[in-house]
Amino acid sequence: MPFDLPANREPLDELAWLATAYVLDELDAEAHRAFEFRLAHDQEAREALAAAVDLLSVIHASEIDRDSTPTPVRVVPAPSGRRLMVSGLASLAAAVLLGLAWFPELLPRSMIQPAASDSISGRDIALAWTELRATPLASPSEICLLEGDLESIGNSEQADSSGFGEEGDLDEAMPPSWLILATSLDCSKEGIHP
Amino acid sequence: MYSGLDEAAHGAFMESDHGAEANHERQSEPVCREIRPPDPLSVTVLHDLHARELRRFLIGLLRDPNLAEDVLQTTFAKLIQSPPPDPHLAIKAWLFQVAYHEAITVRRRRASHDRAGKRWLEIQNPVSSTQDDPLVRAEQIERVREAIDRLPPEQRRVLRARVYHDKPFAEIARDLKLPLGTVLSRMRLALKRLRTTLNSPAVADDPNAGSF
Repeated sequence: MPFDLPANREPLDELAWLATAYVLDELDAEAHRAFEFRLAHDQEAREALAAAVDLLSVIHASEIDRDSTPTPVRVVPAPSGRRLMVSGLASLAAAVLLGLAWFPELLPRSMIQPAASDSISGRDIALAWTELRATPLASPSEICLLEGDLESIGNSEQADSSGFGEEGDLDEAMPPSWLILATSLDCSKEGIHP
Repeated sequence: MYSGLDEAAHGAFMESDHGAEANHERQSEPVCREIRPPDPLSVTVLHDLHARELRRFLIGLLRDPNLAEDVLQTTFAKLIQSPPPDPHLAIKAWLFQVAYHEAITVRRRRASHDRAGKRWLEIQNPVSSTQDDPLVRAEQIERVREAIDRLPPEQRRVLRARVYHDKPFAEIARDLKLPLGTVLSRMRLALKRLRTTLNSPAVADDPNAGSF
């Protein structure tokens, strides 16, 4: 094994290298025997052997530790209870909003209607109107009941006084213009949603 | 021959059990009465001073941490039973000499022992084999690891292949397609740097660090 040393090596460096080669079993038989013979009487060689074992042990241990250390990964801290609750609520709210966007009929009607309009939709009014017009045999009491309902709704919502609830309107053959507008707006809104 | 620490230990060893009666006996029987069994305190001091380095020396010889521990205990037992006849002999050198002969004797007794004993990688169990203070050891390991990271890549590659993967230098040279001399030079340079790191003054906690 070519463990020849350059001439400018320091003696201690040479001895340390020789001891390291001995520990690593890199010496041939003759060099191995010679070094062991030297160990019998040379205290420096003994200490060099101890130092070589020490150094190689530490190097080996450092590499073992490096291998056993898991590869650094981005650790996401576990959410605390409060953060978990906030996250859950936010997710729920998002899901509800999304669901309402897709299925607006799930919303209470008071939330669907525009703020400026009445609490009942134009379509409902149109249906009621149509039904009313289609059932001329309705008794006067029923007509009064419907009229009273509409009036109560209109009063509670501070409806405008564009003629809604006036007795004479019910007798007209054509629905009022506000009803047509409300119905068209309602239909246009429905057209937006799938 | 021996350091100041060794001198102190040697003094404690030689001056132990020296009372007035002992001085009288020594005057009447001057031959061989200088050698007295050391008191337990002296043995403890000597053990603290030299056991760590002795253990490593024995591991290098025997390639067996358990066997090395046994021989270490035998060595200190001999210190008590038959102390060094030469009062001027450095205790440290005497301990190493006794340990060496004990180790060679043990090795010869082992029928299954081959030339090199176990391979280097097989005896690597740093925690159990060195019996160092874990904190000191961890600090050493960390500093050496950082030093390894600072090595040039070509030196680091050779070092890891040899020490960690236990590849012979010839095989490393073949794998890297390099002349063997180049591989050896890289290994030597790497070891020199790491040895400097390991022996740097930062290991002030280790009482044996400066005794070598």
